[in-house]
Amino acid sequence: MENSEALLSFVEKYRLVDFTQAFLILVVGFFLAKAVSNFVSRLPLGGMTAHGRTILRRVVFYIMIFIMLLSALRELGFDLSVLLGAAGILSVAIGFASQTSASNLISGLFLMIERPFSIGDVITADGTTGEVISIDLLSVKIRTFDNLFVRIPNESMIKQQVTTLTKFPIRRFDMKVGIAYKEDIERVRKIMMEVADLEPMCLTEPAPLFIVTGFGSSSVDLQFSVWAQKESFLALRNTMYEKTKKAFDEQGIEIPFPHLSLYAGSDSSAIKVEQIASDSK
Amino acid sequence: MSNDSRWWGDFNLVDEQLHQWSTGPRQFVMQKSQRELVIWDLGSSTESHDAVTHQLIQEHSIDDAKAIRIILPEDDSNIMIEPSVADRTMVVKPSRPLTLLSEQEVDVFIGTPLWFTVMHKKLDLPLIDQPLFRPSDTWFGNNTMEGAMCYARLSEAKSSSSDLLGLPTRAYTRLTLKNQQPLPIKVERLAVPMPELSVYVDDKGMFWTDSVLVSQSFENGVSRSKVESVQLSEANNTLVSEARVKSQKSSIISSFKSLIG
Repeated sequence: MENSEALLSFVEKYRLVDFTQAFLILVVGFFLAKAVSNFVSRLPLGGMTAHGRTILRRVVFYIMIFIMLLSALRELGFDLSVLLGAAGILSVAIGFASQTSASNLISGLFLMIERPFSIGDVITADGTTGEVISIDLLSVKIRTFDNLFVRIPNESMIKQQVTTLTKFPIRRFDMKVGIAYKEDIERVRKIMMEVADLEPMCLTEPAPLFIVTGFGSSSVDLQFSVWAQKESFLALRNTMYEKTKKAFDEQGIEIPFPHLSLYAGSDSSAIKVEQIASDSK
Repeated sequence: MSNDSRWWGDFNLVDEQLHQWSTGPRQFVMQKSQRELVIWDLGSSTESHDAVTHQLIQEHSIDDAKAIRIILPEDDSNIMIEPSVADRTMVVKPSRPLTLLSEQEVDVFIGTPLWFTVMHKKLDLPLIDQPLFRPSDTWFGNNTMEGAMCYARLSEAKSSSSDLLGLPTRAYTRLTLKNQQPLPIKVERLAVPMPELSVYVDDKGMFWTDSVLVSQSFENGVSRSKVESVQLSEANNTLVSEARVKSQKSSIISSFKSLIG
Protein backbone atom coordinates (compact mmCIF):
# COMPACT_ATOMS: atom_id res chain seq x y z
CA MET A 1 0.00 0.00 0.00
CA GLU A 2 2.69 2.45 0.99
CA ASN A 3 4.66 1.49 -2.14
CA SER A 4 1.65 2.14 -4.35
CA GLU A 5 1.06 5.52 -2.81
CA ALA A 6 4.74 6.36 -3.17
CA LEU A 7 4.61 5.33 -6.80
CA LEU A 8 1.49 7.38 -7.46
CA SER A 9 2.96 10.43 -5.81
CA PHE A 10 6.15 9.96 -7.85
CA VAL A 11 4.15 9.80 -11.07
CA GLU A 12 2.14 12.88 -10.13
CA LYS A 13 5.19 14.82 -9.06
CA TYR A 14 7.01 14.30 -12.33
CA ARG A 15 3.82 14.29 -14.45
CA LEU A 16 4.82 11.03 -16.00
CA VAL A 17 1.32 10.48 -17.35
CA ASP A 18 1.44 13.74 -19.28
CA PHE A 19 4.89 13.01 -20.64
CA THR A 20 3.84 9.52 -21.64
CA GLN A 21 0.75 10.86 -23.38
CA ALA A 22 2.77 13.50 -25.20
CA PHE A 23 5.35 10.90 -26.24
CA LEU A 24 2.63 8.58 -27.50
CA ILE A 25 1.03 11.42 -29.46
CA LEU A 26 4.36 12.15 -31.12
CA VAL A 27 5.15 8.53 -31.94
CA VAL A 28 1.67 7.68 -33.20
CA GLY A 29 1.52 11.02 -34.96
CA PHE A 30 4.81 10.34 -36.74
CA PHE A 31 3.63 7.04 -38.19
CA LEU A 32 0.20 8.45 -38.96
CA ALA A 33 1.77 11.41 -40.77
CA LYS A 34 3.96 9.02 -42.78
CA ALA A 35 1.00 6.83 -43.73
CA VAL A 36 -1.31 9.70 -44.65
CA SER A 37 1.34 11.57 -46.66
CA ASN A 38 2.23 8.40 -48.59
CA PHE A 39 -1.44 7.70 -49.24
CA VAL A 40 -2.11 11.25 -50.47
CA SER A 41 0.90 11.18 -52.80
CA ARG A 42 -0.38 7.97 -54.40
CA LEU A 43 -3.85 9.31 -55.12
CA PRO A 44 -4.73 9.46 -58.84
CA LEU A 45 -4.25 13.19 -59.20
CA GLY A 46 -4.28 13.57 -62.97
CA GLY A 47 -1.34 15.42 -64.49
CA MET A 48 0.70 15.69 -61.32
CA THR A 49 4.37 15.09 -61.94
CA ALA A 50 6.68 13.00 -59.74
CA HIS A 51 8.15 16.23 -58.42
CA GLY A 52 4.69 17.54 -57.50
CA ARG A 53 3.84 14.35 -55.65
CA THR A 54 7.07 14.61 -53.64
CA ILE A 55 6.24 18.18 -52.66
CA LEU A 56 2.67 17.21 -51.72
CA ARG A 57 3.88 14.29 -49.60
CA ARG A 58 6.33 16.49 -47.72
CA VAL A 59 3.81 19.28 -47.15
CA VAL A 60 1.18 16.87 -45.76
CA PHE A 61 3.79 15.15 -43.59
CA TYR A 62 5.16 18.33 -42.04
CA ILE A 63 1.71 19.82 -41.45
CA MET A 64 0.65 16.68 -39.58
CA ILE A 65 3.87 16.60 -37.59
CA PHE A 66 3.33 20.24 -36.64
CA ILE A 67 -0.24 19.52 -35.49
CA MET A 68 0.96 16.53 -33.45
CA LEU A 69 3.71 18.66 -31.92
CA LEU A 70 1.19 21.30 -30.86
CA SER A 71 -1.04 18.57 -29.35
CA ALA A 72 1.91 17.13 -27.45
CA LEU A 73 2.89 20.56 -26.13
CA ARG A 74 -0.69 21.21 -25.03
CA GLU A 75 -0.70 17.88 -23.27
CA LEU A 76 2.39 18.94 -21.41
CA GLY A 77 0.54 22.05 -20.27
CA PHE A 78 2.18 24.67 -22.45
CA ASP A 79 0.13 27.77 -23.17
CA LEU A 80 0.01 27.83 -26.96
CA SER A 81 -0.95 31.50 -27.18
CA VAL A 82 2.43 32.36 -25.66
CA LEU A 83 4.10 30.07 -28.12
CA LEU A 84 2.26 31.70 -31.02
CA GLY A 85 3.44 35.08 -29.86
CA ALA A 86 7.00 33.85 -29.64
CA ALA A 87 6.63 32.24 -33.04
CA GLY A 88 5.60 35.56 -34.51
CA ILE A 89 8.75 37.25 -33.24
CA LEU A 90 10.87 34.27 -34.22
CA SER A 91 9.48 34.22 -37.74
CA VAL A 92 10.55 37.81 -38.30
CA ALA A 93 14.06 36.98 -37.15
CA ILE A 94 14.15 33.82 -39.23
CA GLY A 95 12.75 35.71 -42.20
CA PHE A 96 15.62 38.17 -42.18
CA ALA A 97 18.17 35.42 -41.75
CA SER A 98 16.76 33.14 -44.43
CA GLN A 99 15.91 35.51 -47.25
CA THR A 100 17.89 33.51 -49.76
CA SER A 101 16.40 30.20 -48.66
CA ALA A 102 12.90 31.67 -48.73
CA SER A 103 13.56 33.04 -52.19
CA ASN A 104 14.77 29.62 -53.32
CA LEU A 105 11.71 28.00 -51.78
CA ILE A 106 9.29 30.34 -53.51
CA SER A 107 11.22 30.01 -56.77
CA GLY A 108 10.89 26.24 -56.40
CA LEU A 109 7.11 26.58 -56.12
CA PHE A 110 7.03 28.72 -59.25
CA LEU A 111 9.19 26.16 -61.09
CA MET A 112 6.73 23.49 -60.05
CA ILE A 113 3.78 25.49 -61.33
CA GLU A 114 5.42 26.62 -64.56
CA ARG A 115 7.14 23.30 -65.33
CA PRO A 116 9.71 24.44 -67.87
CA PHE A 117 11.44 21.07 -67.47
CA SER A 118 10.93 17.75 -65.68
CA ILE A 119 13.08 15.08 -64.10
CA GLY A 120 14.92 13.31 -66.90
CA ASP A 121 15.08 16.33 -69.21
CA VAL A 122 18.44 17.60 -70.42
CA ILE A 123 18.86 21.30 -69.73
CA THR A 124 21.50 23.99 -70.06
CA ALA A 125 21.54 26.44 -67.17
CA ASP A 126 24.26 28.72 -65.92
CA GLY A 127 26.65 27.29 -68.49
CA THR A 128 26.05 23.72 -67.33
CA THR A 129 24.44 21.06 -69.48
CA GLY A 130 23.14 17.87 -67.95
CA GLU A 131 20.23 15.68 -67.02
CA VAL A 132 17.84 16.84 -64.31
CA ILE A 133 17.89 14.23 -61.54
CA SER A 134 15.78 16.05 -58.97
CA ILE A 135 13.81 19.25 -58.52
CA ASP A 136 13.83 20.01 -54.80
CA LEU A 137 12.46 22.80 -52.62
CA LEU A 138 15.62 24.86 -52.67
CA SER A 139 17.56 23.69 -55.69
CA VAL A 140 17.68 21.66 -58.86
CA LYS A 141 20.19 18.85 -59.13
CA ILE A 142 21.82 18.05 -62.44
CA ARG A 143 24.05 15.22 -63.54
CA THR A 144 26.45 16.36 -66.27
CA PHE A 145 27.46 14.03 -69.08
CA ASP A 146 30.87 13.52 -67.50
CA ASN A 147 29.03 12.44 -64.36
CA LEU A 148 29.47 15.49 -62.20
CA PHE A 149 26.82 16.51 -59.69
CA VAL A 150 25.73 20.13 -60.00
CA ARG A 151 23.37 21.92 -57.62
CA ILE A 152 21.71 25.04 -58.98
CA PRO A 153 19.63 27.16 -56.57
CA ASN A 154 16.04 27.62 -57.66
CA GLU A 155 16.43 31.38 -57.47
CA SER A 156 19.11 31.17 -60.20
CA MET A 157 16.86 28.99 -62.32
CA ILE A 158 14.06 31.57 -62.18
CA LYS A 159 16.34 34.52 -62.87
CA GLN A 160 18.32 33.19 -65.82
CA GLN A 161 17.70 31.60 -69.20
CA VAL A 162 17.26 27.86 -69.03
CA THR A 163 17.30 25.85 -72.23
CA THR A 164 15.50 22.51 -72.16
CA LEU A 165 17.13 20.46 -74.90
CA THR A 166 14.65 17.57 -74.67
CA LYS A 167 11.37 19.43 -74.40
CA PHE A 168 10.17 18.62 -77.91
CA PRO A 169 10.25 15.20 -79.58
CA ILE A 170 12.39 16.26 -82.55
CA ARG A 171 15.45 18.43 -82.86
CA ARG A 172 17.40 20.05 -85.66
CA PHE A 173 21.11 19.55 -86.21
CA ASP A 174 22.91 22.35 -88.03
CA MET A 175 26.03 21.07 -89.74
CA LYS A 176 28.46 23.75 -90.81
CA VAL A 177 30.80 22.89 -93.64
CA GLY A 178 32.98 24.85 -96.02
CA ILE A 179 33.72 23.88 -99.60
CA ALA A 180 36.39 25.14 -101.95
CA TYR A 181 35.46 28.07 -104.16
CA LYS A 182 35.99 25.96 -107.26
CA GLU A 183 33.17 23.56 -106.30
CA ASP A 184 29.69 23.65 -107.85
CA ILE A 185 27.30 24.59 -105.05
CA GLU A 186 24.30 22.92 -106.71
CA ARG A 187 26.24 19.67 -107.09
CA VAL A 188 27.25 19.79 -103.42
CA ARG A 189 23.61 20.42 -102.47
CA LYS A 190 22.53 17.28 -104.36
CA ILE A 191 25.24 15.20 -102.73
CA MET A 192 24.29 16.33 -99.25
CA MET A 193 20.59 15.81 -99.87
CA GLU A 194 21.33 12.29 -101.01
CA VAL A 195 23.35 11.63 -97.85
CA ALA A 196 20.36 12.79 -95.78
CA ASP A 197 17.94 10.79 -97.89
CA LEU A 198 19.88 7.55 -97.39
CA GLU A 199 20.15 8.01 -93.65
CA PRO A 200 17.03 6.51 -91.95
CA MET A 201 17.51 8.53 -88.75
CA CYS A 202 17.31 11.76 -90.70
CA LEU A 203 13.66 12.82 -90.85
CA THR A 204 12.09 13.21 -94.27
CA GLU A 205 9.90 15.91 -92.81
CA PRO A 206 10.68 18.52 -91.75
CA ALA A 207 12.83 18.45 -94.87
CA PRO A 208 16.58 19.05 -94.68
CA LEU A 209 17.68 22.60 -95.27
CA PHE A 210 20.64 23.66 -97.40
CA ILE A 211 21.82 27.25 -96.88
CA VAL A 212 24.82 29.12 -98.23
CA THR A 213 25.74 31.21 -95.22
CA GLY A 214 28.44 33.26 -96.87
CA PHE A 215 31.71 33.55 -98.72
CA GLY A 216 34.43 32.88 -96.18
CA SER A 217 38.07 33.84 -96.43
CA SER A 218 39.07 30.32 -97.46
CA SER A 219 35.83 28.59 -98.41
CA VAL A 220 32.20 28.91 -99.40
CA ASP A 221 30.41 28.42 -96.09
CA LEU A 222 27.36 26.21 -95.99
CA GLN A 223 24.88 25.11 -93.39
CA PHE A 224 23.08 21.81 -93.83
CA SER A 225 20.28 21.34 -91.29
CA VAL A 226 18.64 17.98 -90.68
CA TRP A 227 16.03 16.90 -88.18
CA ALA A 228 16.08 13.83 -85.95
CA GLN A 229 14.24 12.34 -83.00
CA LYS A 230 15.73 13.73 -79.82
CA GLU A 231 16.84 10.23 -78.82
CA SER A 232 18.80 9.81 -82.06
CA PHE A 233 20.22 13.33 -82.14
CA LEU A 234 23.77 12.50 -81.04
CA ALA A 235 23.97 9.42 -83.23
CA LEU A 236 22.72 11.38 -86.24
CA ARG A 237 25.19 14.18 -85.61
CA ASN A 238 28.13 11.81 -85.75
CA THR A 239 26.74 9.90 -88.69
CA MET A 240 26.12 13.01 -90.77
CA TYR A 241 29.70 14.23 -90.34
CA GLU A 242 31.10 10.82 -91.25
CA LYS A 243 28.84 10.22 -94.23
CA THR A 244 29.25 13.75 -95.57
CA LYS A 245 33.03 13.44 -95.43
CA LYS A 246 32.85 10.06 -97.12
CA ALA A 247 30.52 11.34 -99.85
CA PHE A 248 32.74 14.38 -100.44
CA ASP A 249 35.82 12.16 -100.72
CA GLU A 250 34.07 9.86 -103.19
CA GLN A 251 32.85 12.77 -105.29
CA GLY A 252 36.10 14.73 -105.10
CA ILE A 253 34.61 17.69 -103.22
CA GLU A 254 37.30 19.65 -101.43
CA ILE A 255 36.87 20.88 -97.86
CA PRO A 256 39.64 23.46 -97.75
CA PHE A 257 41.72 24.27 -94.73
CA PRO A 258 42.46 27.95 -94.12
CA HIS A 259 44.94 29.25 -96.68
CA LEU A 260 46.29 32.56 -97.94
CA SER A 261 47.23 33.60 -101.48
CA LEU A 262 49.78 36.39 -101.99
CA TYR A 263 49.44 38.84 -104.89
CA ALA A 264 51.83 41.63 -105.89
CA GLY A 265 49.05 43.67 -107.40
CA SER A 266 45.56 43.26 -108.77
CA ASP A 267 46.84 42.23 -112.21
CA SER A 268 49.41 39.74 -111.03
CA SER A 269 48.85 36.03 -110.44
CA ALA A 270 49.37 34.48 -107.03
CA ILE A 271 52.97 34.50 -105.89
CA LYS A 272 54.32 31.00 -105.82
CA VAL A 273 55.83 29.94 -102.51
CA GLU A 274 58.00 26.85 -102.55
CA GLN A 275 60.71 25.41 -100.40
CA ILE A 276 64.15 25.19 -101.97
CA ALA A 277 67.02 23.03 -100.81
CA SER A 278 69.42 24.87 -98.54
CA ASP A 279 73.15 24.54 -99.23
CA SER A 280 74.88 23.79 -95.97
CA LYS A 281 78.67 24.18 -95.79
CA MET B 1 10.08 -26.98 -90.89
CA SER B 2 7.29 -25.76 -93.18
CA ASN B 3 6.26 -28.18 -95.86
CA ASP B 4 6.16 -25.76 -98.77
CA SER B 5 8.46 -22.99 -100.06
CA ARG B 6 6.92 -20.30 -97.95
CA TRP B 7 9.35 -18.29 -95.87
CA TRP B 8 6.78 -17.63 -93.13
CA GLY B 9 4.83 -19.90 -90.82
CA ASP B 10 5.94 -22.50 -88.26
CA PHE B 11 9.53 -23.67 -88.30
CA ASN B 12 11.20 -26.40 -86.32
CA LEU B 13 14.78 -25.43 -85.48
CA VAL B 14 16.93 -28.48 -84.98
CA ASP B 15 19.88 -27.85 -82.66
CA GLU B 16 23.05 -26.52 -84.36
CA GLN B 17 21.38 -26.15 -87.77
CA LEU B 18 21.82 -22.77 -89.46
CA HIS B 19 18.62 -21.37 -90.98
CA GLN B 20 18.86 -18.46 -93.36
CA TRP B 21 16.12 -16.14 -94.59
CA SER B 22 17.30 -13.71 -97.24
CA THR B 23 16.19 -11.27 -99.87
CA GLY B 24 19.10 -9.85 -101.81
CA PRO B 25 21.75 -8.64 -99.35
CA ARG B 26 19.21 -8.57 -96.47
CA GLN B 27 19.61 -11.65 -94.29
CA PHE B 28 18.44 -13.23 -91.07
CA VAL B 29 20.30 -16.28 -89.85
CA MET B 30 19.20 -18.35 -86.84
CA GLN B 31 20.80 -21.13 -84.90
CA LYS B 32 19.36 -22.89 -81.89
CA SER B 33 21.36 -24.73 -79.29
CA GLN B 34 19.15 -26.22 -76.58
CA ARG B 35 17.49 -23.20 -74.95
CA GLU B 36 19.71 -20.61 -76.61
CA LEU B 37 18.66 -19.03 -79.89
CA VAL B 38 21.15 -16.86 -81.76
CA ILE B 39 19.87 -14.54 -84.48
CA TRP B 40 22.15 -12.68 -86.89
CA ASP B 41 20.54 -9.68 -88.57
CA LEU B 42 22.31 -8.22 -91.62
CA GLY B 43 20.65 -5.02 -92.85
CA SER B 44 20.83 -3.36 -96.21
CA SER B 45 20.71 0.26 -97.26
CA THR B 46 18.81 -0.56 -100.45
CA GLU B 47 15.46 -2.26 -100.87
CA SER B 48 15.65 -5.68 -102.44
CA HIS B 49 13.04 -6.78 -104.95
CA ASP B 50 14.02 -10.45 -104.72
CA ALA B 51 11.73 -13.00 -103.18
CA VAL B 52 12.44 -13.94 -99.58
CA THR B 53 13.87 -17.44 -99.44
CA HIS B 54 14.50 -19.83 -96.62
CA GLN B 55 17.26 -22.44 -96.67
CA LEU B 56 19.63 -24.37 -94.48
CA ILE B 57 23.24 -23.29 -94.77
CA GLN B 58 26.55 -24.62 -93.51
CA GLU B 59 28.14 -21.32 -92.57
CA HIS B 60 27.65 -17.59 -92.82
CA SER B 61 29.83 -14.49 -92.90
CA ILE B 62 27.75 -12.14 -90.76
CA ASP B 63 29.72 -10.37 -88.07
CA ASP B 64 28.95 -11.62 -84.55
CA ALA B 65 28.45 -8.00 -83.53
CA LYS B 66 25.15 -8.14 -85.38
CA ALA B 67 23.97 -11.17 -83.40
CA ILE B 68 21.50 -11.32 -80.54
CA ARG B 69 21.28 -14.22 -78.14
CA ILE B 70 17.97 -15.15 -76.62
CA ILE B 71 17.36 -17.67 -73.88
CA LEU B 72 14.04 -19.35 -74.61
CA PRO B 73 11.67 -20.26 -71.78
CA GLU B 74 12.01 -23.93 -72.59
CA ASP B 75 13.81 -26.22 -74.96
CA ASP B 76 11.15 -25.84 -77.62
CA SER B 77 12.38 -25.82 -81.17
CA ASN B 78 9.24 -24.34 -82.73
CA ILE B 79 9.17 -20.72 -83.79
CA MET B 80 6.76 -18.77 -85.97
CA ILE B 81 7.80 -16.33 -88.66
CA GLU B 82 5.18 -13.71 -89.48
CA PRO B 83 5.28 -11.13 -92.27
CA SER B 84 4.02 -8.01 -90.54
CA VAL B 85 3.66 -4.38 -91.47
CA ALA B 86 5.24 -1.27 -90.03
CA ASP B 87 5.08 -0.64 -86.30
CA ARG B 88 4.30 3.06 -86.87
CA THR B 89 2.06 5.08 -89.13
CA MET B 90 3.42 5.31 -92.66
CA VAL B 91 3.27 8.77 -94.26
CA VAL B 92 2.92 8.09 -97.94
CA LYS B 93 3.77 10.84 -100.36
CA PRO B 94 2.46 10.30 -103.90
CA SER B 95 5.24 10.93 -106.40
CA ARG B 96 2.75 13.16 -108.20
CA PRO B 97 0.14 14.95 -106.04
CA LEU B 98 -3.36 13.78 -106.64
CA THR B 99 -6.32 16.14 -107.00
CA LEU B 100 -9.69 14.76 -105.99
CA LEU B 101 -12.72 16.72 -107.09
CA SER B 102 -15.69 17.43 -104.88
CA GLU B 103 -17.93 14.44 -104.05
CA GLN B 104 -15.52 12.07 -105.78
CA GLU B 105 -13.80 8.98 -104.54
CA VAL B 106 -10.88 7.00 -105.83
CA ASP B 107 -8.97 3.88 -104.91
CA VAL B 108 -5.18 4.09 -104.86
CA PHE B 109 -2.76 1.32 -104.07
CA ILE B 110 0.46 1.70 -102.12
CA GLY B 111 3.18 -0.77 -101.26
CA THR B 112 5.05 -0.66 -97.95
CA PRO B 113 7.96 -2.80 -96.72
CA LEU B 114 7.18 -5.98 -94.82
CA TRP B 115 8.51 -6.64 -91.36
CA PHE B 116 10.18 -9.93 -90.44
CA THR B 117 8.69 -10.97 -87.09
CA VAL B 118 9.82 -14.02 -85.15
CA MET B 119 7.46 -15.30 -82.45
CA HIS B 120 7.66 -18.02 -79.82
CA LYS B 121 4.44 -19.55 -78.53
CA LYS B 122 5.41 -19.04 -74.89
CA LEU B 123 6.16 -15.35 -75.29
CA ASP B 124 3.77 -12.48 -75.99
CA LEU B 125 6.39 -10.22 -77.50
CA PRO B 126 8.31 -11.08 -80.67
CA LEU B 127 11.89 -12.32 -80.45
CA ILE B 128 12.84 -9.98 -83.26
CA ASP B 129 10.73 -7.58 -85.28
CA GLN B 130 12.74 -5.96 -88.05
CA PRO B 131 11.86 -4.49 -91.46
CA LEU B 132 13.05 -6.11 -94.65
CA PHE B 133 13.86 -2.56 -95.66
CA ARG B 134 14.05 0.25 -93.11
CA PRO B 135 12.04 3.28 -94.28
CA SER B 136 13.15 6.74 -93.31
CA ASP B 137 11.78 8.39 -90.18
CA THR B 138 9.52 11.36 -90.58
CA TRP B 139 7.52 13.71 -88.41
CA PHE B 140 3.81 14.12 -88.93
CA GLY B 141 2.11 17.02 -87.21
CA ASN B 142 0.98 20.60 -87.44
CA ASN B 143 4.27 21.85 -86.02
CA THR B 144 7.55 20.59 -84.64
CA MET B 145 6.21 20.53 -81.09
CA GLU B 146 3.18 18.27 -81.43
CA GLY B 147 2.76 15.32 -83.70
CA ALA B 148 3.94 11.76 -84.10
CA MET B 149 7.01 9.97 -85.34
CA CYS B 150 6.18 7.99 -88.47
CA TYR B 151 7.88 6.33 -91.39
CA ALA B 152 8.08 8.04 -94.77
CA ARG B 153 7.33 6.43 -98.08
CA LEU B 154 7.39 7.82 -101.58
CA SER B 155 4.83 5.98 -103.67
CA GLU B 156 3.38 6.11 -107.14
CA ALA B 157 -0.04 5.55 -105.52
CA LYS B 158 -1.38 3.65 -108.52
CA SER B 159 -5.07 3.78 -109.20
CA SER B 160 -5.22 0.27 -110.65
CA SER B 161 -4.17 -2.92 -108.90
CA SER B 162 -3.12 -4.44 -112.22
CA ASP B 163 -0.33 -1.84 -112.46
CA LEU B 164 1.22 -2.95 -109.20
CA LEU B 165 4.67 -4.50 -109.35
CA GLY B 166 3.63 -7.13 -106.83
CA LEU B 167 7.03 -7.18 -105.11
CA PRO B 168 7.47 -10.06 -102.66
CA THR B 169 9.01 -7.83 -99.98
CA ARG B 170 6.07 -5.46 -99.81
CA ALA B 171 2.54 -5.46 -98.51
CA TYR B 172 -0.03 -3.64 -100.64
CA THR B 173 -2.84 -1.53 -99.26
CA ARG B 174 -5.92 -0.24 -100.98
CA LEU B 175 -6.68 3.32 -99.91
CA THR B 176 -10.15 4.61 -100.71
CA LEU B 177 -10.12 8.39 -100.74
CA LYS B 178 -13.45 10.19 -100.48
CA ASN B 179 -13.83 13.91 -100.88
CA GLN B 180 -17.06 14.97 -99.24
CA GLN B 181 -16.18 18.63 -99.33
CA PRO B 182 -17.55 21.24 -101.73
CA LEU B 183 -14.04 22.02 -102.99
CA PRO B 184 -11.40 19.83 -104.64
CA ILE B 185 -8.59 18.59 -102.44
CA LYS B 186 -5.00 18.06 -103.34
CA VAL B 187 -3.58 14.90 -101.81
CA GLU B 188 0.07 15.57 -101.04
CA ARG B 189 0.57 12.98 -98.34
CA LEU B 190 -1.41 10.37 -96.47
CA ALA B 191 -0.89 9.00 -93.00
CA VAL B 192 -1.73 5.30 -93.18
CA PRO B 193 -2.25 3.61 -89.79
CA MET B 194 -0.16 0.54 -90.58
CA PRO B 195 -0.17 -0.94 -87.01
CA GLU B 196 -3.96 -1.29 -87.26
CA LEU B 197 -3.83 -3.40 -90.41
CA SER B 198 -3.67 -7.18 -90.63
CA VAL B 199 -1.63 -8.88 -93.34
CA TYR B 200 -2.95 -11.45 -95.80
CA VAL B 201 -1.51 -13.40 -98.69
CA ASP B 202 -3.54 -13.99 -101.83
CA ASP B 203 -3.54 -17.06 -104.03
CA LYS B 204 -0.72 -15.55 -106.15
CA GLY B 205 1.54 -15.13 -103.13
CA MET B 206 1.14 -11.36 -102.99
CA PHE B 207 0.80 -9.72 -99.60
CA TRP B 208 -2.12 -7.44 -98.86
CA THR B 209 -3.30 -5.56 -95.83
CA ASP B 210 -6.72 -4.50 -94.71
CA SER B 211 -8.03 -1.59 -96.76
CA VAL B 212 -8.13 1.96 -95.48
CA LEU B 213 -10.95 4.41 -96.02
CA VAL B 214 -10.05 8.09 -95.80
CA SER B 215 -12.94 10.57 -95.86
CA GLN B 216 -12.46 14.29 -95.99
CA SER B 217 -15.51 16.29 -94.96
CA PHE B 218 -16.34 19.87 -94.12
CA GLU B 219 -18.29 20.36 -90.88
CA ASN B 220 -19.09 23.65 -89.18
CA GLY B 221 -16.45 25.46 -91.17
CA VAL B 222 -13.73 22.99 -90.22
CA SER B 223 -12.12 20.47 -92.50
CA ARG B 224 -12.06 16.99 -90.89
CA SER B 225 -10.43 13.75 -91.86
CA LYS B 226 -11.73 10.36 -90.89
CA VAL B 227 -9.52 7.31 -91.26
CA GLU B 228 -10.73 3.79 -90.71
CA SER B 229 -9.52 0.36 -91.63
CA VAL B 230 -11.75 -2.02 -93.55
CA GLN B 231 -11.16 -5.72 -93.15
CA LEU B 232 -10.07 -7.45 -96.30
CA SER B 233 -12.30 -10.18 -97.63
CA GLU B 234 -10.89 -13.59 -96.80
CA ALA B 235 -12.40 -15.16 -99.90
CA ASN B 236 -9.11 -15.39 -101.79
CA ASN B 237 -6.85 -14.20 -99.00
CA THR B 238 -5.28 -16.01 -96.08
CA LEU B 239 -4.53 -14.15 -92.88
CA VAL B 240 -0.82 -14.35 -92.05
CA SER B 241 -0.53 -11.85 -89.21
CA GLU B 242 -2.95 -9.93 -87.06
CA ALA B 243 -2.88 -6.16 -86.70
CA ARG B 244 -0.36 -4.94 -84.16
CA VAL B 245 -3.01 -2.84 -82.40
CA LYS B 246 -6.76 -3.01 -82.42
CA SER B 247 -8.09 -0.09 -84.37
CA GLN B 248 -10.05 2.55 -82.54
CA LYS B 249 -13.20 2.51 -84.64
CA SER B 250 -13.93 5.55 -86.76
CA SER B 251 -11.35 7.65 -84.99
CA ILE B 252 -11.80 11.23 -86.01
CA ILE B 253 -8.40 12.79 -86.14
CA SER B 254 -7.97 16.50 -85.90
CA SER B 255 -8.02 18.55 -89.04
CA PHE B 256 -4.43 18.31 -90.19
CA LYS B 257 -4.51 20.36 -93.32
CA SER B 258 -1.48 18.50 -94.51
CA LEU B 259 -3.11 15.07 -94.15
CA ILE B 260 -5.04 15.60 -97.32
CA GLY B 261 -4.71 18.75 -99.35
